[in-house]
This record gives sequence, C-alpha cells and structure tokens, in this order.
Amino acid sequence: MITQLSSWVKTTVYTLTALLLSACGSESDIDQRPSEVDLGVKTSIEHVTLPAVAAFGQSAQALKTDITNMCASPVTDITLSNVQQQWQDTYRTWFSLLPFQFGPLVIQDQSSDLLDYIDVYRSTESIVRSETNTQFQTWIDAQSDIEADSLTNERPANVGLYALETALFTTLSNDLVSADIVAEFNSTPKKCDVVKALAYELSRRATEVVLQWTTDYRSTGVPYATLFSDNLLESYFSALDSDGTGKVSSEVLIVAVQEYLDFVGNAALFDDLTINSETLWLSIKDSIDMIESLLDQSASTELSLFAIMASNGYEQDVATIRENLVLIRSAIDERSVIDTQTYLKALDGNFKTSVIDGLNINKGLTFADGDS
Amino acid sequence: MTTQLTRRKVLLGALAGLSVPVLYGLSRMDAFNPSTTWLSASGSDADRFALSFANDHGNHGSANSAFRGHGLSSNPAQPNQIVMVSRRPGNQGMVLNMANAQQTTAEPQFFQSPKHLFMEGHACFSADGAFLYCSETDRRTQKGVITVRETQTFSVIQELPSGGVGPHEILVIPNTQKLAIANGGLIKDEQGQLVNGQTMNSNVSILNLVTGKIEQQYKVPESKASLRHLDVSSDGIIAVGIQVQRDFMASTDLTPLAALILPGQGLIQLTAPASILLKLKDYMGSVRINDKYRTAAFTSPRGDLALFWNIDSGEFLGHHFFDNVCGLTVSQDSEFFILSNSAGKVRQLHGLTLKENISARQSFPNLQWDNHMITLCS
Repeated sequence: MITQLSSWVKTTVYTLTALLLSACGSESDIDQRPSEVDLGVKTSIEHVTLPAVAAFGQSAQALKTDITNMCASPVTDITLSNVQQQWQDTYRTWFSLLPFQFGPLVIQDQSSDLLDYIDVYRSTESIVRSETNTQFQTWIDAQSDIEADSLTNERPANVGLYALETALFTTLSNDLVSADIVAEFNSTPKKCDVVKALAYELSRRATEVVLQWTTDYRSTGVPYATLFSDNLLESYFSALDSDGTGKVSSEVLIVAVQEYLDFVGNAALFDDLTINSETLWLSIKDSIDMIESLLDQSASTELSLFAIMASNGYEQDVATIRENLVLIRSAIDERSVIDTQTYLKALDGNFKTSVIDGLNINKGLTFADGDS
Repeated sequence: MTTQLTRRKVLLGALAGLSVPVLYGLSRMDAFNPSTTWLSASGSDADRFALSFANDHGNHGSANSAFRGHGLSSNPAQPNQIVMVSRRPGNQGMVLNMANAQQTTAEPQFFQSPKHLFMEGHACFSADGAFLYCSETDRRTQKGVITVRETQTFSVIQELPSGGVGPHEILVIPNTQKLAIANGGLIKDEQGQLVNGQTMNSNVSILNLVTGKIEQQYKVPESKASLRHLDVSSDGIIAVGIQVQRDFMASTDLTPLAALILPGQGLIQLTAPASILLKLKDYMGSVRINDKYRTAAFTSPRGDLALFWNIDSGEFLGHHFFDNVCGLTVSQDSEFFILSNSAGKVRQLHGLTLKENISARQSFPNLQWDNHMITLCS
C-alpha cells in the first residue's frame, strides 16, 4: 500500500512515476525516422538489387534478340552456340535476382506468381524434360501458327528459363547432341517459332520485373524500390493484400535471402539440373557474391549491414559469415556438391540467427505460442 | 512492502529505463479510460517482461512482471482486476488492479504454482469472481490439471483433471458451471523439445466444475493437430484454434486450423481457400468471438494473417494481412476486433464489415505485444 511507504520513498516514487507517465506518451512522440538498418537496406537495394534487376532484364532482352537473329537464317552450330551462351548468361543473371523473392517476383501473373513463369523449378523443385518436349511437339503438330505471343496463357512448366533450356539444348526426342539440335531446327521450322515465343514470354516478364522495381509497382505510380526501401507498402496497400501486411523491409529482405539459401542448400538442384551443370555452379557462385555485396557495402557507406552488425557487438558473427562465404566459394570451385550444400546450410543458419540478431530485426515474438 | 518495491525494481529499474509497475494515486491516471483499454503480456527479455496496456488515446503503460506472461483474464465481478499468468513452463501469476487513484489495492500481487505443478499459460475467473482457474501440468505425471484458486490470496484450493495433456486455453462456458479446456496434447522436455509427437492426443474437454468430472470431449480427425486456443460465445458455441505438428504428420495435406463446437451438434472444421490456408503455416495463435456480429476471428503470426468465420453458418468471411499478428480481442462495445503484433502495432477492424479503421492504427514500438490481448471492461 502506497500510504504505508516511508515519506522519502513516497516522494521519490511519485516523482519517478510522474516522470515515467509523462514519458509514456502517445504515438506522436515516437521517432518515425528510418533506422540505420533501414538506411543500410536502402543502400543495398540501390547498389546491389537494382543492378541485378537491370542485368536480368537486359540479358533476357538480348536472348530474345539473339534467338530472333538465329531463326532468321538457317541455324548453324555457331548461331546455336551463341544463343546457348546467351541463355547461360541470362541464367546467371537470374540467380543473382532469385534471392529477392518478394515484391515484383511474387505479383500474381494469371494463376501463379510471376517468378514461376520465369523459373518453375524454384517452387516445384521438379523438371521433366520429356514432358516439356512432348508439349513442344504438340504445339508444332498443331495446325495453327505459333506467333510471338501464342504462349502467353501457358502454364509455368511450359515456359520460362527451363523450357527455353530444353528447347535450345535438346531435340524433341531428348537428344543432347548439338549437331542433332541444329538439324532439327532446320528440318522443323516451327521449332524456331516455339523458341521465339518462349523468348518473347521470358523477355516480356523480365521487362515487367524491371518496370515494377524501377518505375511503377502495381499501379501505385511508385517504384517498388522506393516503396520497399522506405517501408511505404503498408501505406499503399490495404490489409486484404499481402503487401499491406506491414512487415518491415529489413526482415523481408533477410528472410528472403535465408529462404534462398535454404533452397540451394537443400534442393536436389545438382541432380535435377544437369544439362548446364557448369552454368549452375557459376550461377550459385554469382548469387553468393551478390549476397556478400548485400551485406557488405562498406565501399559505399558506413551503413553497410555488416558494419551495423559489428557496431551492435556482432563482430565475431560477421567474421564467421565471411568465413562461410569463403568456404562456399572454395567448395564451388572444387565442384563439391556435399561441401557446397554443407556451407550453404551454415550460411542459412547465420541468416536465421546472427544476421537477424545482429541487425536487431524483430523476427516476431509470437512465433511459437505458449512455450518458453 | 519494501520487498515488493525492490522486486519491482521501482527505483533502480526506473533509473535504468526499465518499465516499472504503474503506481496509482496520481492525477495522470485519469488519462486511462478503462472502457477502451487493452492489455497484453509484453517484452522479449527478462528486463522487459511486463503486463502492458494501451488505449484509444494512444496512452500506454506497463507493470513489470519479471516473468514472461501469456494469457490474461479480467475478473467479471471486479473488471479492473486483471490476472496474467506465466507462459509455459513458468510458475507465476500476477494480479493487477487497474483502478484509478481512489483505489487503494493498487500494487501488483504475485502468486505461484505449487511445486509439483507448472503453468500452461492461461487462466480464467469464475463468473462470480470467487475463483480463478489455471491450466497447469503435474510434473510428476505430465497430466493436465486445472487448479482452482480462491481470489483473495490466490492460493490453490482444489486440483481438477483437465481431461488430457498440455491444457492450454480455458474458459468458463457462460451461464454454466462448466469449463471448456483446450488440451493441446503436447509434452515437452526441459529444453522445450516435443517428446510425444508420435502419440500426441489433443482434445477440447468440458469439465463440470461442480462434480470435477469431464463430461464431454471433442477431437479433430488429424491426430497431429494440437487444439490450443478457444473462445466461447454467449450461447455456448466454442471456437477452437489449432496448431499442427507437421513434422510428425504422414501426409502433406493442408489441415483445417479452425473449428467450431456447436452445442448438441459436435465439432465442425472450418474451411477457407487453400491459397489462404497454405499461408498459415500450420499455425493459429489467438481466437476471439464477436458475439454481436456472430463472427469468430483467428490470428496466425506465422502467416501474418487474421481470418474470420461466421459462427452460425461456418461461412468463411475474409482475411486481413498484418505482420506477425497474434493478439486479438473485441472492443468493449463489440463494434471492433482489436489486433496487435509484436512490433507494438494495433489495428481495429469493424466486426461486421471487417474493414479496417485505418485512422485508428497505433504504433507502440517500445511495447512488444505478446500472444494474447484482452479488453478491460468498465
């Protein structure tokens, strides 16, 4: 009971509590300025994500152009090889964008996310090339012409990077020999129409990703980069929409990267994606370089995410993450699937704990109910 | 008295910037309008664990609890009296009177579980306020127990069976002497790891508080579904929130995470579009019924979603995206659902239209609202 306290304690308590109550103000007293993590994320988006977006868009466009040129004349070993090289380049640019599985990549496109129409393997972890070739044969055998936009309503398994890979790197009977592929293009002109249409769809969607990030996200008139970096999505979208959730961008970014690492660390990519396995290795390495750049923008700013972690007392965790990045690269260089995935899982673990804690990201107190 | 002050770290805690119990007898307390106040456990570490509250005016405060709280209950006979109990496997409860300066019984009161028991996170008062029921577990047998406490000293005067293992949320069924108990069915070791995943057996039990017997039990078809949260309408419809132990499931099928128990009819599972169910990640957090609009709301912090069903027809009414949403209550006038998250945000959705009153959005970044929220009724 307060009345039973000594007078000294009473005075002190009343004074302190009055101060506390005056400090317990209204929401208008709360600092609304961006945090250093917000600013660090903004820098990473600007210097890492947007260039990756642009590179993918440009590469997909170049692939479409190269395929158009290849199909304008009889296909040769050289013209096919050029197009295959461009497909590999586009694939590598894609892997540097793949970790950003939020925003433009997950907007609804017909019956699925936009990402699925670019990379069906990411969500299904399954590719059946023979089925894809059977579908190509069906289109070729159909009486109707295959125009550039003929495949616009096709399902994700029939379009995108892996469908293009199948069309460019195998024959309709699943043969991998280049000479046979060249011969088939020349003996089956409609196969060129198929790859032109596939390239059109990929380039169209890649351009859409670029526009959403840089110009106008979902008809808001504002680039997604701005909405995301400035944590404005909640202001533009209602809560009936997943963009209106109100989740802070730093958490979205870190969780997305962590989920990508979980994917590459656990999925059977090296068993399933064998046609261009060398390109796969290089692509994963590119994505690791990108992730390191995301964390370490120290060349551009003192507000790099690594610097923020270090200033929060997580220097050792930063060092551990750097070591894991080195180990992943070494394992990739040795083409060791086991080691690569082991170290990817370790980095995944770093993102789940050290990066979250080091950046003071509130992962959600209520994640696991009722238990300590 | 000095011991209580020391325990609450009034002087040192305040100087160190820690939240401290709100002390009464001060003129600023008239800013807290009891009819529009919401309460929840809050805080993510021992220095910040508290019972926190906020109101429509944006005022807020906290009473340091020194333990991580979970469920709260207000005394129907004395609505200003609030109890918060420990999250599993704690053993403490805190009683706080939200009365204004004229009240003299203002300081928090603490109570503990008997040594052979630990708390399972929820408690509720009897309709006349004479008793407090707590969901607990007997350490010796791992069986669920409902402790009955008198509400003067909050000492245990009786132990009743919960009808299962891991009792979690409990509520008195209105106009009855019966307690609805969500027995989650989970046994965990001291590290918090599930030890009975293969054999778990969850149910909602109805306990007769007079006879001490379990009268009815309800289950869902999926044996790995843990029935953990519930609310009861004025006419006895029980809404149940579910979490699934996916690691122990043989199938990859989506499992309904919401159900209704209709008096005299049994349990029905509530459905929603698969695209929505998939987002829930097998996890529902809180459940609350808005009696006026006959709507049950459920929150999924893993899915960042709140979902709504009509309790008479079972019709799925809609959803609301909200980052890490879990706390869920109904405004005193029953016009709004109140939702909270651990980033300190609060939103209000109209109980009939389910449209958000966006102008009423609030943000208390210094308050990490925990799983559950109640409304202080005047």
